[in-house]
Amino acid sequence: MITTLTQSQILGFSNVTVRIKNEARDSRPILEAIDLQLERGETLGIVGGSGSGKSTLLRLAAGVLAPGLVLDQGEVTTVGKNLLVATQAERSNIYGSVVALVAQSIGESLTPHLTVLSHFSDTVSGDVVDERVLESLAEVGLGGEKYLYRYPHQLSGGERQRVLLALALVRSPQLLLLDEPTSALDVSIGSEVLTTIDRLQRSRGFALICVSHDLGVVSQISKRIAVMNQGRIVELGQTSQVLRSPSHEYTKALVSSIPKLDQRIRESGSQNNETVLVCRGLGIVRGQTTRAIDSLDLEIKRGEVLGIIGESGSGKSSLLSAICGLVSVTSGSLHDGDGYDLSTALQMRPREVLSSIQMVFQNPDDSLNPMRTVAQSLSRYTQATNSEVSSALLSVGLGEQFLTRRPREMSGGEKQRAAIARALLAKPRLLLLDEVTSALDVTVQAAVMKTLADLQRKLNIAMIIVSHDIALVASFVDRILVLRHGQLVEQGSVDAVTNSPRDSYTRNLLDISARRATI
Amino acid sequence: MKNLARRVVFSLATFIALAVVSFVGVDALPGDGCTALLGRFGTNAKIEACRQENNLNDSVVVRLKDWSGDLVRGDLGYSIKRDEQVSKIIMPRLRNTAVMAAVAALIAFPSAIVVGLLLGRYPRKRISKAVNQFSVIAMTLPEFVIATVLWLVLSIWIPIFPGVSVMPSNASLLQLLPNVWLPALTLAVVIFAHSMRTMRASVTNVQNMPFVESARLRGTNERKMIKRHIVPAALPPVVNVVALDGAWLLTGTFVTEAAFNFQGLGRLAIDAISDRDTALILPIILFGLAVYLVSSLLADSLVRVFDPRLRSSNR
Repeated sequence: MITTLTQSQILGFSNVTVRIKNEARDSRPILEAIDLQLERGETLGIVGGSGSGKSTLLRLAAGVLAPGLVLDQGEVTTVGKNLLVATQAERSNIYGSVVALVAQSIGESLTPHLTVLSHFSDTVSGDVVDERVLESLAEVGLGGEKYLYRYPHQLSGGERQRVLLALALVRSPQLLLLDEPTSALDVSIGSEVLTTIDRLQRSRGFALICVSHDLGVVSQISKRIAVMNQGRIVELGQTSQVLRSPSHEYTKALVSSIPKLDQRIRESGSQNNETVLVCRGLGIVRGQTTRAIDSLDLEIKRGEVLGIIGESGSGKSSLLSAICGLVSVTSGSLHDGDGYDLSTALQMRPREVLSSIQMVFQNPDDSLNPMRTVAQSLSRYTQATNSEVSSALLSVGLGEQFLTRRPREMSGGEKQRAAIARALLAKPRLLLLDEVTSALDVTVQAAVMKTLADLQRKLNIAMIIVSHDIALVASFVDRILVLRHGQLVEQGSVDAVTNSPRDSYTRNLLDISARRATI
Repeated sequence: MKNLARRVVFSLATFIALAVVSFVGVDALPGDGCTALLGRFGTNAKIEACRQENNLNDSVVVRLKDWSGDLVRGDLGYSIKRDEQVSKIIMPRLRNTAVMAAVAALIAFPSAIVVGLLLGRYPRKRISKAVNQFSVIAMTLPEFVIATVLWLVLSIWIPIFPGVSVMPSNASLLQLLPNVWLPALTLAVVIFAHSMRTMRASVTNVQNMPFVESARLRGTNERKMIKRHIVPAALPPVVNVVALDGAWLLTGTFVTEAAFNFQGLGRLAIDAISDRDTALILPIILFGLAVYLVSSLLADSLVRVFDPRLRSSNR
């Protein structure tokens, strides 16, 4: 076998094309003519939208090709070996000691019936197992013996990711492959994990490839960046170079789509004194004792856009659910603008109240019925006429051709637009948006947010937008609310909160966001 | 532990409730011990005298109280028809059925788990698919057909086992063993197919889970993969099927026992029902109830061993 690697290189892709098995030759390949070399100890970030082929590329570096895909041409060499043709035994020898891959689904990547220590004893043996394990756990920031005997379900998301890192690094591989290392984590925790990865890379000097949809993530830990779009590497260069002066159209769009704290995508409209929602001393208890929301006071005026920032467990979703009646109010009061008591359960609310408050959910795949066409989904409960449905679709940027499509024939952004159109058809006075863009690519997110800004200005409806991304919220809303563990820790106008945050937690989020934007 | 205790109490309550329902239900059927004994030749006077003698004219409540009191003391009752203590009739047959069930379980379950694991590892291979399809046939064929085929092959064409058991119900173990094989094999075919298919499907499912790939990418060798990652994760669904099948082996063997004239509990149940021997029917029903309650309790406890998420209280 011919290896194309020089002594200093650890990984080489030469003219690699990957296709779907049995698909016509003229169809677009999953990966197309990829040329890529990685030096020992080098860090590379791969960024791209969903379907860009970035994960396929990363897994190919570990010699893994998903069933249904074939290597059409080209060669992948990892430290002098073509892993794709290696036997299972040969791979077992290479994985962990030369190449290690940490997959995306950190929630399911640890074996549920094994303790942390048992995971290590798969590959670490000898007399000093416990010591070695403790050492490598400490290295990723998990100090203390208490972690040894924990099961995966007893670990938080961040702890799981750290355990996976420690497992990958315990036998000192020369190449670490990370697939979306932070996408399942809260912003501040993800940022801490990235800091850990960066520190380990510097001290151990392994080569690193990190794949993410988030330019901010990869730029934090990689010197070079490859931008992928539709199976091709469209731009490859030094991180600072790519970020400062992107040359390819797609990269430009990508960079400009990242929400920035000081760049507004919606101008504040006219507000009047008509309130659409009032809550006083609101308390929500979920389960037996969990306080999701603790004595919250809140008032929203017509035409006002309120942003709520918070991490998982902060109570932000519980608040939205209580407003639209999916979760019951435990204490305090919650009324709409006409004084209607919103602690009334969903089933008991009159039709006008129901339609006046609409919610768009995070994942359009779950909120659109896969069996129905868009027209059916949109007219079913809103009782809208055909022309109303068409004009609602048009207002979110979807043409007539979408009327007869089903969700599987649409992209994530198109599906979310349809879900927004459906909410608008009910003519709401208050629109609740729960992480509506977090499942979307950054470029798509920017377009959807623009659409929402236009709609808000035209219809002058009140909105509550919930997100983990403080920059996104700051660029869109009039007023920001920061929730933490069900408590309101900060509240004020965008300028007040972003320029002079009073709470340390808000400051931390702003720091992370600023760091991402400036790299 | 607290959870387990609660389950045990709940199972006991279920047992008591079902026992009462069974007693009242069987009592509501036409006929009792005396009509069973005297048959159609019994005159009204004779039957009445018999009832007087055996306290059958008491109200249902009184008899239920007597019966349950006896039961608590370990007295299963008395069969008027057979003029014998019920325990004396049931125990030898229970032993026979238990031996047959044990043989069937030992043949079927370990091999089903091993074969299921092998086939589940390679779900796309032709042999894997073929065996899987074939096992559907084994599962859907009536037992008497399987029994007949086995009898033809293993008793007539290749005379290894006796075709019909001609032993008394209280035969010694040594007498019993040769007669056990054919019925046990018949039952084994059915439960093998059942648990093998479950194991195969479960292994195939587990193999595609991210944690298996993740372990492989850490360099875990295949032997450890199977032993530590795949099998423990694949077993819980199989444990439930094994528990159900195990209970069926002790309580659902009417057809097979009848086919081979095997003197077991199933055969006895058929006789008791056709004789309307209510005193004998009731304990057999209760035994079936107990077996199912205990086996599902065992299965749930065993699944806890495999899955720490069910054990712990946090999250």
